[in-house]
Amino acid sequence: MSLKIAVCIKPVPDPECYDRITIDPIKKTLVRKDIPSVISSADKHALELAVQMRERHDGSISVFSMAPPEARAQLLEALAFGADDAYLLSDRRVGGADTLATSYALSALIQHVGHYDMILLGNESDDGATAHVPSQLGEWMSLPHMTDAVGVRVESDSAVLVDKEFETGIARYRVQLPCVIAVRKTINDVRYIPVKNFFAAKRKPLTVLGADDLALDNAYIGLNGSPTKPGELITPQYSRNTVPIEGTDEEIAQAIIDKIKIYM
Amino acid sequence: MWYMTEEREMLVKMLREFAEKEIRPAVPEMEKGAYPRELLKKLGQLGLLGLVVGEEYGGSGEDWISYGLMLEEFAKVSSTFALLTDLSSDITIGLIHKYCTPEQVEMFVKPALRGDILLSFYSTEPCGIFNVSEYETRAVLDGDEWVINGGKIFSTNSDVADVNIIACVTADKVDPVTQEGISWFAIPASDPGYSVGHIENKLGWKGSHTGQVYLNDCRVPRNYQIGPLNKGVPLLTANLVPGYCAYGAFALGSMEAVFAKTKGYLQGRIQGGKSLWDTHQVIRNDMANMWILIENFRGAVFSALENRNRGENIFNQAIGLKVEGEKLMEHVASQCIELHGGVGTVYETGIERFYRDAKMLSVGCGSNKTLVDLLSYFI
Amino acid sequence: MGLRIKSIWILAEQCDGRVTRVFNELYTKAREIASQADGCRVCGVLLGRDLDAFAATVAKSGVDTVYCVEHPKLEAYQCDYYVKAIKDLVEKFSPDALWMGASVMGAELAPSVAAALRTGLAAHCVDISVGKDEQIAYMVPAFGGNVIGEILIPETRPQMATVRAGILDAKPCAEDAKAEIVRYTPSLPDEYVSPVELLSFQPTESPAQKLEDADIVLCAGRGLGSEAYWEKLNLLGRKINAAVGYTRCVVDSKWADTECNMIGTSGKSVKPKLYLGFGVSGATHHVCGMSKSGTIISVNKDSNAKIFGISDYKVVAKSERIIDAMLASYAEDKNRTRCD
Repeated sequence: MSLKIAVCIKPVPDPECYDRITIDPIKKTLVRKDIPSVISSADKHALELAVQMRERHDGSISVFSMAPPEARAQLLEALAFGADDAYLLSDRRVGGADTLATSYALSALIQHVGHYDMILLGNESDDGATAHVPSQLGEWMSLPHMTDAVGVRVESDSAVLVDKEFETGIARYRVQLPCVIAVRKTINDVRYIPVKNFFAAKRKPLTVLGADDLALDNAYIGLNGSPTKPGELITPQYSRNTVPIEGTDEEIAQAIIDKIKIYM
Repeated sequence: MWYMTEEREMLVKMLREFAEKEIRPAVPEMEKGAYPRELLKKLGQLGLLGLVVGEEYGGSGEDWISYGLMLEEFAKVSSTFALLTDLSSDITIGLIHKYCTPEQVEMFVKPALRGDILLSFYSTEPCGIFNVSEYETRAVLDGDEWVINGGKIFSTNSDVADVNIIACVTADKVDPVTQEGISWFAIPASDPGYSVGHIENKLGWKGSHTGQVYLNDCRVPRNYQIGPLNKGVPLLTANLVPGYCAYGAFALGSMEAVFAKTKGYLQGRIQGGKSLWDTHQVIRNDMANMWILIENFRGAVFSALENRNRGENIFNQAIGLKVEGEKLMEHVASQCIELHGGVGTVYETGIERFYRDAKMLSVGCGSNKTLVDLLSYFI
Repeated sequence: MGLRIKSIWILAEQCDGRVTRVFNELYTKAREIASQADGCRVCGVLLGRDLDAFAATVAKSGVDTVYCVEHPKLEAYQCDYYVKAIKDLVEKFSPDALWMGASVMGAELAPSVAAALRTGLAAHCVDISVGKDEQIAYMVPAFGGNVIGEILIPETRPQMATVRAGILDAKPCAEDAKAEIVRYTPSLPDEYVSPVELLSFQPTESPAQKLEDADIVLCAGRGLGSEAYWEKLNLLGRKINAAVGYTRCVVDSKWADTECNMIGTSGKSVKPKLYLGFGVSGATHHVCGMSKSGTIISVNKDSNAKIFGISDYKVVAKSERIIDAMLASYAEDKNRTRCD
């Protein structure tokens, strides 16, 4: 059987640099300069799953994103990774969106392009880490959806088996296609992109769309369509007065053991 | 940088990730002398061993700038690993692939590109790498087989390669002027007559094994002789010397890494409430001067690589890059150790290995003193 | 004018017949917020089948009302059924706020409900308070916890929020509390067959000591160096009856094969009496998950490690050596523990 897979990716500031993010004390906005953008790490695991499924079942992979125009670089990377085509929704009118408005716009983008058997995403993004978009995307599209997947297997033309990791164990579900699945990073190892792919990526179609290209209801996009509103930003400071424990390894070990005794 | 494109940006990102996640954890073992065989095979699987080999041979068909970028990124983590990458790609596959028959491409080139087999390539004998008229290792045709007897010294990777590409005398005498009389042979490590002697315990490039090779009645089929018979020397000089541009790339990467680590150290080392960087002008001047050397060298490296892309003969430039690269890398590493103070000499700090590896560049794969002399004939 | 909310609902999940600890944490916070508004009720919401016993338990927590949403199809968690049931209940009773613990279930259910209701949801809040303009302000972490942002939900109702266990403080509840029990049967017609079917459940081996409940937590970081020392740390944990958590690096290195005991913004939050970290560098996303620990002792060979800034005691040494020394010490008589 041939699978049409959609993968949603989010360009985020590189998590390696998060300790460097500061807040402008006057404008009260984030200062993110000089921090490069990357594909959110969990989304790469979704891409890896898509590529593995295509290797097994044949089909195609389309990548979708709602982001500023610079996100072209991340979409190109997704094409190099193995996607067949890429679609970027880039428009001020959809900007400033919270997760509800973002997932609405993404649902409109995907539906505008075509029908997909499976829509894959990373469970949560490196920056916002809300883990909302997969479920909300499913709701907007009226599709069954599932988060925290640690295993996905195609069972037939019409269903997949999904292993979902709960705190106490792993539940296996049969989910009808088409569906939305969000994966945990532990689901697979992301492969390195072979050299050839970098140089072939530009030959694959990358389409940039504006809000006018889609049938979008203004009530649901951008700031207007976002029931949550951002307020103050703070950078939390954590600090304590630190006392060193010094000495030989044995002396240090004993000092720690003495402290443990207090709490045992 | 003028040489970066969107594709190369993506390539560099992948290389950087590979270097941090795969090469860095292997450094301690390499410094103890372990040869990172599995990592080199992974490079093959990713198409990285054939960056400048044409697609018709099974390579990736890219260019020298991409090759240089690969070695630069790897060298930022390990100069040794960058060398080993060069040895597994340009210095073996790169040198021989155009001289191979289609049959030999299937037997040796494509498997090596995939990382299924590892090749080595050496010719040095006690008389010196370029003194080919005094080579004693000899190959004699016996029916359908070549019988090879002799020995080599300073043979790199002779104990780990699956197939060794070795220079042998095939004429009665090697003509000292035309240098005709040398031919190349692929000798499998499994040949009963092939044995490796002592592996040297060197100052640097510890993960690269260099030792003596003994060839006692090695027998290989006729089609294991690579390239035109008796006309093997051009394969060595025409390609080996321009290949020194690779050394420039990995010297550059090493210097950048050592410089960045030192800058971070100096800016983070607080004494009396201020960083060393802020309180010592001498230190900042030293670093600024090194920055100039490194960035100027970057221009030289990538311009040579682009010249090579355009088909120009970079014989002279390449010698320049190896000679200057060694001097600069040694200088930068040496200064950066001092700027760290005592901890600069400590293995765990991660600088001292670049200092040792720098020195190896002066003699590895051709002594810089000989090369400078050689260059003087061509300038 | 005062805070204008009339009700705050909290979804109650059960674990072995008891309500999960995050419910009590959310209840304490809800009561604190409700006390700033006139006549605001705090209510528990239960979904399932045969809820009498559980309802009685939740009724003792201090809530004013317990909504029992019962239907055979709600026996086990099923997202689409639960969304429909909650949507029905919300449309009937119009709560001003609906909060849930950010358990695996809550983290999926909350955004699904929020989308179905087209309302706002603040995820993984680290605090909830009454802000200026008498609005509830939900504080959420971003960028690995390096930035905390305030989220307001001015217009849509109910305001929704999820909070991880161990973040908020819980006050012990009065054992004699009583609550009104309201029974509700949602409309889940037989003709509607869910496209999702639960086939099986494989429980994972639960560690001897649950991370969130442990008085002592040992934490493994990348600086442990090798899987061998990861195993030794676990051995040490068993010796002193401590729970063992870890940072993301340990998952990436594959010493631990699951994220279940990962401590940080993407994992668990812990507040043990004693946190003892080995080779933990102190990146913000981890610190957010343990900064409220009672006493923090950190061992790291890097004297500049960020973790030292938030530690009560610092040991600049190789973790491997200290772990070996501690294990050797415990092997001697003078340090025999109850666990031997």
